[in-house]
Amino acid sequence: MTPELFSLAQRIHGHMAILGLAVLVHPIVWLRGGRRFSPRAQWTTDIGALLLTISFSMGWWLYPSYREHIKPGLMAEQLDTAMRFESKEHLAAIAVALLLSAALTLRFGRQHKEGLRLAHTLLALGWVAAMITFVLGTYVAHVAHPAW
Amino acid sequence: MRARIALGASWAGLGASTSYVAQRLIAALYGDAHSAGVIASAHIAYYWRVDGAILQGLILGALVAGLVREPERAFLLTSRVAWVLVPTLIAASLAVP
Repeated sequence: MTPELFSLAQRIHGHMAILGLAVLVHPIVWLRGGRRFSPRAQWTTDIGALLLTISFSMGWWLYPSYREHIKPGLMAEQLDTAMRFESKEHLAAIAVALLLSAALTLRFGRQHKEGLRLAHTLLALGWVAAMITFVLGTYVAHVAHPAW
Repeated sequence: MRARIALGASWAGLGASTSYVAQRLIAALYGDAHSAGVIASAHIAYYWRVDGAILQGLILGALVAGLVREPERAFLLTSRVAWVLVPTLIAASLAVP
């Protein structure tokens, strides 16, 4: 992968993530307390989870290049930043698992009040994990780039 | 049936998250599996961890969906478990990179 392609893909990866996070604010606010459901909340949940899954998939695609070209220098000179990157990867895996399960729980469990509440719980917790991932990713990206 | 699928999906997500963090903590304690023990040619520990977590989460979700008799009642319990479990997983991920 060329540094230019890496840089472009890294930006798209981050922009998809923040877009997904923004979209998910709608169902998190709407479904609060499991009191009400709307088809739009299902749509925004699905779209937000999909955007973050695509972002995560792009991260998978970028990861071997990161390991090869960026990680060694980062580990040698900015160990703390490299460790934040590792935490980011762990949190991304947690966030995507929770958000996909939240979308499915909402789709299949919305007839039940507690099902709605469970979907909201998974959404909110997944969103927090994804937001921490995004903050760490932004921090790491300002240090770790192909020109590193 | 729909409630069972919803419950299974929620436990699949929680199970995959827990499996991932557990694998990571074990790797931090004992080291990642040697590449020759998995696939020598294309071993990236992160990929294997995520794959293993997805598989184990799906198995847990299928078991929960198949075995729980009153899924409606289990929704509440699952919410309570999630509010304790997920912050713990997040804290562990930040504490042990």
